Amino acid sequence: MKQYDLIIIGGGISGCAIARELSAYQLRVAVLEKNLDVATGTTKANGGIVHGGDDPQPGTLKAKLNVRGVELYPEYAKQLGFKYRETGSMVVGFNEEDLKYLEKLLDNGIKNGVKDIELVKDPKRIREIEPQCSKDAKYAVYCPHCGIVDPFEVAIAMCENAVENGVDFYLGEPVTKIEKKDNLFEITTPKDTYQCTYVIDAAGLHADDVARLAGIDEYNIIARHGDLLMLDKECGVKNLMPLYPIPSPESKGTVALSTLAGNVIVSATAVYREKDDTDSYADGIAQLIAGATKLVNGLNTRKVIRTFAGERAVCENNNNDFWIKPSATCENWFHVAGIQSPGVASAPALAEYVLNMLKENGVPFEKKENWNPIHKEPIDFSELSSEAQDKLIHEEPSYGKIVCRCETVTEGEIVAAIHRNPQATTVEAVKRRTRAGMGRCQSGFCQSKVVHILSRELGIPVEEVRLESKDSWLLAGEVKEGVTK
Amino acid sequence: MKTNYDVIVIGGGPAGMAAAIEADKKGAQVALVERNEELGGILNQCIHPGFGLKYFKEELTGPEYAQRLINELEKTKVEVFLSSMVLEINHLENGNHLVSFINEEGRLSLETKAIVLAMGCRERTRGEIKIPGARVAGVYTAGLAQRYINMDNLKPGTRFVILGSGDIGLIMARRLSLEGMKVEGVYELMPYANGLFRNIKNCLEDFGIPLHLSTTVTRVIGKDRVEAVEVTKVDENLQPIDGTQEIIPCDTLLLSIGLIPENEISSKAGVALNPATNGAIVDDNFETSVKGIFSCGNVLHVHDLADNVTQEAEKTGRNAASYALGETKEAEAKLQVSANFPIGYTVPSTTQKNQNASIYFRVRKPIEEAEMVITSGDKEIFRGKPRSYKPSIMECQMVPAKLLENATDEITLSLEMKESA
Amino acid sequence: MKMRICCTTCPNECELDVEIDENKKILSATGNKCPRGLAFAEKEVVDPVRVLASTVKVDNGAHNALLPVRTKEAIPLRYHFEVMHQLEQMEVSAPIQMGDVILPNVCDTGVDVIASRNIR
Repeated sequence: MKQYDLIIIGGGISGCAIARELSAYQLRVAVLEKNLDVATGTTKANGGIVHGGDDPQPGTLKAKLNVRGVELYPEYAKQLGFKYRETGSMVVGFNEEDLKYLEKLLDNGIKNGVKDIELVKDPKRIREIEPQCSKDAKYAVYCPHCGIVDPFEVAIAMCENAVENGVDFYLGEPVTKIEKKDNLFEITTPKDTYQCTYVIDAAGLHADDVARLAGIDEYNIIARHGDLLMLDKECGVKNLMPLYPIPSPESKGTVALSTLAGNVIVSATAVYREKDDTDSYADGIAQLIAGATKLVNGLNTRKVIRTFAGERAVCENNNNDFWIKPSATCENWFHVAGIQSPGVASAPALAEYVLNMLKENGVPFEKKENWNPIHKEPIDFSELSSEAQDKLIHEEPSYGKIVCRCETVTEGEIVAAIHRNPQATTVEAVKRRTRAGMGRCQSGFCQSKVVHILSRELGIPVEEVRLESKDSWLLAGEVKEGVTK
Repeated sequence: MKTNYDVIVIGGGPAGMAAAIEADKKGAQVALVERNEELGGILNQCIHPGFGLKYFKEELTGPEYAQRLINELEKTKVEVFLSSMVLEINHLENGNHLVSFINEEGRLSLETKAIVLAMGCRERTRGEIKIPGARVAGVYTAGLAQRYINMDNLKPGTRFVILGSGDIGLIMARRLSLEGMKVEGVYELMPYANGLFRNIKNCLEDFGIPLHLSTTVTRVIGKDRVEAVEVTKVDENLQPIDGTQEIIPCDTLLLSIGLIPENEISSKAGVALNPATNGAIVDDNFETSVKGIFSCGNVLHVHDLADNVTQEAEKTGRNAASYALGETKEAEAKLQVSANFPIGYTVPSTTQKNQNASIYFRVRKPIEEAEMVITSGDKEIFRGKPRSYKPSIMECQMVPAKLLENATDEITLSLEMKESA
Repeated sequence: MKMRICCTTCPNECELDVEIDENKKILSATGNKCPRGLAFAEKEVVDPVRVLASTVKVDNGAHNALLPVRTKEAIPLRYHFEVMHQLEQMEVSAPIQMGDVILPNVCDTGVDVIASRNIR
């Protein structure tokens, strides 16, 4: 049995942000994650937008954390070495009815405290702000401080910095049983039992199920499914700021934007489905293509390289808001649930909010003297100067071996990713950290190489290398066994 | 170390090797840069026979075809850089180009007068055809599965469904069957097979593997690994017909749905591409829109036979060497070459009046009987005999210089359908 | 009996319409552009033959786990799985030259299985 002061259940962007925030204090903290890597749930399948904060209803927790998140991100990115770019964004209207909505949205934004938000009524100016916006756009609400990130890069950086400051991450450990004995929680996973005083339930889509394991039945999570599309870097559009349509009550609608790497992502539909359904649906894909075509001028929607889907955890009967509060029925249990959009945008602010909530509820906090908030960003070979590339290869020749040709990822970067703490142990974990396999060939050329490098570096047979989850096997053994020895 | 060349060839497959050998024969100083640790390119994993009938006049396997070219290359002075990945091409003020690549020695830059692009192609993926369903392990392109089985000695699955009747998919159906892996069937969206007929016969019929035309995979089913796929018949507009869905249990879906020239380096170097081929726009010398940069093989347009690749590359290698050695004459009278549907594209995009032309093309759909008609302005300058055309076969239309005398500044290829009896 | 046979000798892929008697002897054949088509059809109706290509495990290749091999000539299709079984049991050592005999006279066909490439 392992003992901690506080355990966070769930290694998504919220769990990782909280872990990193708490790592500054003299608490023994652990994170239990059911999958083999962090950031594998809702965090890995969304648009990656640090939304401006104009959308959430004023007065909600969402509104507050979103706007605060936008303020915190630039400094967070500097400290943790992840990429963040302030792009600005526009919600685009095409007619007078849309204008009415946009006027309300502007009002919303001002009430939420969104800085420099502006209603643009001059189509020419819309095109000055984003020349690739549809030529039919007549009105827009412009949020100049909206930004973009790679959500899994953010979560991984937070996770790694938390680990550097003493937080333990246990991956591949789904919680199967929770008991409370003598004011201590005993949490069981297939590998071990963990004892702690405080629990933060940040288990995403399954936060309610995890709470019920502890006998806590205070809310219900339903899954809002969203299809997404990723387009090739060569798709007619470059550096597109996030463009939103007039939203529906359920979703911000089809948003199109360029990612940090230069692809275009179209995100996302909104349909309630079963939990853990991350299938892509043909009608959703068609809806995204139609939506993006309407918003963006010159987008070649035939250049899709990947379709995927994610689910957002929606807390029922909660006005679409986050559900972050102490349990009403179980002392020292804290809910961090219903973190739907803008979960990525809110993450740093959410961590700050959770810290304060814990303090108010009597969790003792004392600053660590040697806390290091700075996380060194990993080497990105393709972004180095020619001279730096040459120097690096001379120091470590494996940086001279290209593994992923589409994204120019070297063996050196992959080996480094595998040996970071926590280790990247799956093909997808390597991909999230290095971009190997994220390009237009979608790992057709590099998967075999990545599998062999994982096998070699982790000292496991190639057959044991997994794509993502525990049972996502890739290879079924040798073709030719040769002479029986 | 030598850092100046007449010709640098990028890619060491059947195109790159042939281009390098011919450029060397013309007396050029040649370097070849290959990203893998050995020469041969994709031929090394194509262990099946069917290569060389045209070029070597005997039937060889892919590795044998490659080995013969490797043996030829070893007799030349061509400098070969293995395990070397070209990152960029820059243009110098003196009209030369700078090819920068990395390998385990560092980052190197070589100056050259001419470049031959011969990087080959890649496979289309699940994302490009947007197959809905679960994102699980077990969906492979046929070429990746071929690599696992024929090079890495690893089984990518045990029970397969193959989508697409392209040649690689058919070849893999046989290979899997021979190695004791089960193939449930091959499914093809179009109402006709995309691969060569010999492959349908030798790879499917010999093994009793069914080919389902006008049927496609409409959903991938599974939690962590593929557990089944849903297949559905399609109508004449290629749209799934509701009610015809069928669930096929399997653990692996192989995709053989087409190839795309790999032109990342080319487009970064400013080479204009043809959207119909995804390859470079070239003239009759296989020179691209950038002076001194040539292109040949599958990076130019996807071929069905390695033999054609080699022959095209030999010409290109000679042309690149002539250019580098200052032997190329400026074209006197350029003719634009274009084509009408159902001809999908032509290579080259321009030719010359005073020369015989070889125009390569592919049709977009099978044609039972049609006459090739070449026009210039409103004048008909050539009419061929009626014959059939298949999309799986790259065609070559020869046009003698004499016929081009009457051409204006362009020629257009059309196929005139014969009324079916 | 009438049959349609596709000749796979060369890329022309001629389709032959053949008529055979009860002893599988060809009575008439049309559609072939050259005599090789007829020769192909004669074999095809009686005992179809194909070149078999596969791999053999290499125990010491620098870059190669497998050696690609093939039968030097076409052998009857009915022997293919037996040859696959024999190749399954084998292991070879580098260096290997293209054309080296890996398995002589398979299934008493008089045909050798040979290496498809060099391996250092």
